[in-house]
Amino acid sequence: MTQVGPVPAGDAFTALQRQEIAKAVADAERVSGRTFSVHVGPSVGSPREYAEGLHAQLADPARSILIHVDPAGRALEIVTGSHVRRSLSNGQAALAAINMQTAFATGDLTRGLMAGLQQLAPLAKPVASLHTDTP
Amino acid sequence: MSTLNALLFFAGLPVLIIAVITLLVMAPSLANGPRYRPSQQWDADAEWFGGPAAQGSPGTLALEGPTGAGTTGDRAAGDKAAGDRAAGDRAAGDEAPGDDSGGASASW
Repeated sequence: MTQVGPVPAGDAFTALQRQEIAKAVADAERVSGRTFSVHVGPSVGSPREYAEGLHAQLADPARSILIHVDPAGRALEIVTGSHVRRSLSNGQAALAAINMQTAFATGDLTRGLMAGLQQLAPLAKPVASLHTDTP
Repeated sequence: MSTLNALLFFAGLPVLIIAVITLLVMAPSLANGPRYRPSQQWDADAEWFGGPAAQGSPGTLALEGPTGAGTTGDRAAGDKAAGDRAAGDRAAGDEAPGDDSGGASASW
């Protein structure tokens, strides 16, 4: 038996879920060396444009990955910065999106976000450039 | 056995057992709190983990603006078809010229 009805204001996640997502974000940043950001909320206008707007607000958008989830609009957007794109291709981001989409469709936002972050983190690692990275 | 004892045994005990079983069944969902259901409305505040104000130390940040603006609980039918759309729709190179950000989109 679970509670029925719309999710009340301010209760998107429980404290434990928040902690799990924050930890997954921190782990992804540690693994990849990139900045990860997760936004869960309604989109104003087109989800893609809204997500790109959020991404642009980050401190270093070129080296950042933003995941925007619109639970009401059932939209997921992954935005990668120009530097991140060198290692994390759009196809790889799309695979992570499918993984997350599966969890979201069952109503499990936390698991979807954690799975997506875990999948994206190793792929977002900067690619070593031999002629510049070796002494 | 007095009438009171009989009443307690035959009515009170079953009611107690029913109450315990009901509590055991409901306990997990009460502990987990409200749950997101794709078919229902979403009225919760926006949350931003690792947003501009918390850059470097992931936390949450309530987003300014009309948080309830996008709550559309009646999109179920229209989104069914979109739900089958694979995430890679715009996977490669469909961003505007000069915009070098990338990524992917999906819906469910």
